[in-house]
Amino acid sequence: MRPYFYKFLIGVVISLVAPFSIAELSEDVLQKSPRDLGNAVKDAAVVIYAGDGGQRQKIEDLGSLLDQVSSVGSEAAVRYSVIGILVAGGEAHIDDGAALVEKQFSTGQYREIAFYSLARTVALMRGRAVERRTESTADASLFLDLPGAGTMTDPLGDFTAADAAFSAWQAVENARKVLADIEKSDDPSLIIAGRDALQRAESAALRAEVYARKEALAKARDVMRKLRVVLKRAKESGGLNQITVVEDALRKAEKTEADAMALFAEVEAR
Amino acid sequence: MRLNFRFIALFVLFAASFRACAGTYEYGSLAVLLAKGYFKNDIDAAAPLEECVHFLNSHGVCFSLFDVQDPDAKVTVEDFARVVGQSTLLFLGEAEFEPGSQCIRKPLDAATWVDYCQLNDVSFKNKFEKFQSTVSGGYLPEVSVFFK
Repeated sequence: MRPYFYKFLIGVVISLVAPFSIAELSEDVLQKSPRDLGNAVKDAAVVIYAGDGGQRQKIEDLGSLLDQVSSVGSEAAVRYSVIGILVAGGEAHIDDGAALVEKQFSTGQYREIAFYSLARTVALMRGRAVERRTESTADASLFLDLPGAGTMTDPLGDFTAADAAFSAWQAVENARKVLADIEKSDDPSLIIAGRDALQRAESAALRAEVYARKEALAKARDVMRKLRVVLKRAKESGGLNQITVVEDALRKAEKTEADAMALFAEVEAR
Repeated sequence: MRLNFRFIALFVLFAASFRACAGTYEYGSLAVLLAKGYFKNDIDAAAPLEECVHFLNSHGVCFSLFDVQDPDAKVTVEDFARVVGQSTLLFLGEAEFEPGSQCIRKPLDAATWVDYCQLNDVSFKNKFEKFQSTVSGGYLPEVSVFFK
């Protein structure tokens, strides 16, 4: 009976001590570089947030972590620990974390650096500006040629190459009419020249169309890739209206792809 | 005249050493360039740093807030390849997430992100060099405004 009693007693002691030990940073950790210390605070805070303790207990434990960091006497350690507390809580606990940091550093020598880090970390997590917007001088063209980079607009709406191909085919139609008139004449050299001109016009129109279809194909494939991402997300979130719209757009892009491939096969066969 | 020259030389030396000590916030610059380049139709050209970082993080192209706020953290080739690779996967519709993770995971057939980029013809080395020369030229406006 006695061994069970001791085991029970040890269990009780561990369960009483555990919530407090979580909030303890070892001496080794406190000696680490500011950034490593911030990471250690983050790891400890993740455990605290995930724990069974009540909200009040959690806030006390997190406050205890920050107290220990303050005792290190380093501005950088405070800065990274504030980041660690907020990152550990994630977006769900931004307000709790911010309130804690504000309370913990409302006075004292680290007030300024803690509030500075708090404002910037919250801004980065929420994506909201803390300062005025900036016109960039950065050369962002660095990433423009990656696959898929570009517009999310419907590529089927604005094709200058397609317009050119359409005009070329219209010119061919006109040439055919002119040739029909020429063939009524008795001048064989004129007829030969007319046929030759028509053949060249047809060849040019075909090239223009292949070019346009290639451009359309590349754009359609780009859009299809993006639409598939959107569709996947819409299906995950159950947005039925969005799914229908995206599926329609996908079908349209797939038709463009199929038409282009058919034309390429036709040109190949010639 | 000679004294003036010495003064100027000392000042230049001081300014250079101060700049070296001040750090460059490379990860912040990378986030801005990536968001405004690769995702230029989704991110406003005048968007501040925090908007770029939040946008990328919310789409699985992950930037650690420790890295972004660390003035001395240097962007490694692997990390550069990672954000380029994650962006590529996102656009190809092949992005997958580890359960419980917010970051796009590396495809299993590649040991590293550098491998992934090389196996899939995603050019990143010349971009990495250009990026390094960009950040060596000083802060981007978005970065200096955010950390001022």
